[in-house]
Amino acid sequence: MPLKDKLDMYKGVETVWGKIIPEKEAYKYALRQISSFCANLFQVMRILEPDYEKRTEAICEIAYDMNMSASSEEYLNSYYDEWNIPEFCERSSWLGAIFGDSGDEYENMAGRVIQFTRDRVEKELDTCPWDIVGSELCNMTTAMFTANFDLCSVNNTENEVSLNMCEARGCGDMHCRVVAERRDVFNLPKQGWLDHMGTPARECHVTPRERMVKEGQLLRNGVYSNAFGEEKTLEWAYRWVAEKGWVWSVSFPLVAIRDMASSDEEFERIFKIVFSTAGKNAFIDPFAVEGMRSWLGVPREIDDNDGRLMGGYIKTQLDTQLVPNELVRFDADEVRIKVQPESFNGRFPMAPIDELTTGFEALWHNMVKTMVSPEWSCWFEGKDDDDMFIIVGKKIDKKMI
Amino acid sequence: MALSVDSKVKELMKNPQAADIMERYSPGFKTDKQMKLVQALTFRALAKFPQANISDETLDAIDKELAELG
Repeated sequence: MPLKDKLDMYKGVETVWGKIIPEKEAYKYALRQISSFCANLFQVMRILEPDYEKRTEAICEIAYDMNMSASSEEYLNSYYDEWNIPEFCERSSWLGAIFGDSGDEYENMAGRVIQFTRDRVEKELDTCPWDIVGSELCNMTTAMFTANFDLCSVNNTENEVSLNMCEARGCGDMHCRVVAERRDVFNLPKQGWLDHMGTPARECHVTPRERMVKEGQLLRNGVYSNAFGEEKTLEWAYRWVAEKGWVWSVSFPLVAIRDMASSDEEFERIFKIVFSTAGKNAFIDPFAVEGMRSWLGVPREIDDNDGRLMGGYIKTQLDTQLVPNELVRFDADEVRIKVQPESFNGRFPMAPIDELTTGFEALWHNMVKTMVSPEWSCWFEGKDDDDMFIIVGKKIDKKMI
Repeated sequence: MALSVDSKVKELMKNPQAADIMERYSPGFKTDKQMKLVQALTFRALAKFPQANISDETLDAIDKELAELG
């Protein structure tokens, strides 16, 4: 047999230094970065609203409203078609679980459907990239599930189930577990926003640790297959999370969190402080920088006090998050990356997030202080223009924070 | 800065007179929670989405009234 003509082709992100980050790794990294931004945002929320119940209810209400209002009858009909849901399936709340299961798998929340029947649905998750955020988010997802179940209910307005996230990775449990049981069948009461972490009526099935999975179907099999056999590819899901991951876990809670501040200025002040702190801490350990160098394939010619470390890191982040960008300068004095605010903030074009600019600028400006040295800064120019420039350079500012 | 349809939705929301104008042309502008999701868009950009259901003529009329606010 003759030699191959050329190497096989694989999808991936190429770093500035030529190291290839495979598609699957890039996808996992992007998910975790969205989760990290969400975790920082939730710290802002905890400062602005010290009461756990109040803040949790606030984000639950918003997430529910947004999920409900984004979905029309037309949307629902296309949903039945998209998922190949047979006509003979009773159109009631249990079908809402299809939303939940697909969303989980798109976001590498690996696990399994334990039961999927008209009267009871049980889903068990072994991993969750958002497990660092905190249980307010776990509660918020139950509000989103409530919307899913309401939309799929007989009258499209009020669901027929009692919903419980009786285990949550974010609370330290081995699994996340969501159980929806028909209230009329199991004689259960209607719930309030903070009632969704109770115990289900019927006993759950617990998958033992040795049979747990570390990755979702997309990474294990390359496709996600739903209960009716419809499939989505990793490529499709990657694009979906690059848009929608920001919407549900950042845009939705942001609407409520902004309202928790006494003014826009106060919100922005605290927001910047939290993201600055997160940035400073990201590379405080010297071995973290070593790990990053290895991951990006940084050659030894690039020494410890070189802004290209930060520039190469930022470019890889943008690439893994599918944000179009152009490296217009990359030398020992400065790195300059061109992006469009329209795509940098508008991952989901209909709901741009200006806080992505504010947050990443605060994060990266402080990150470069520990990743490289305090001589270096990161700032954005042209925030209100068609082109925005992310700059890594040396700067002296006597009031630098 | 003078307001126009090229202002962001959040800037239009902050000005009570502008918000009233927007509400007249686009009912729900002041009350629909969905508007908080799109507040970083300019109104012109928002109007491009079919869901907004805003014609070019309406957009021009809104722009004219906003300009009169000074």
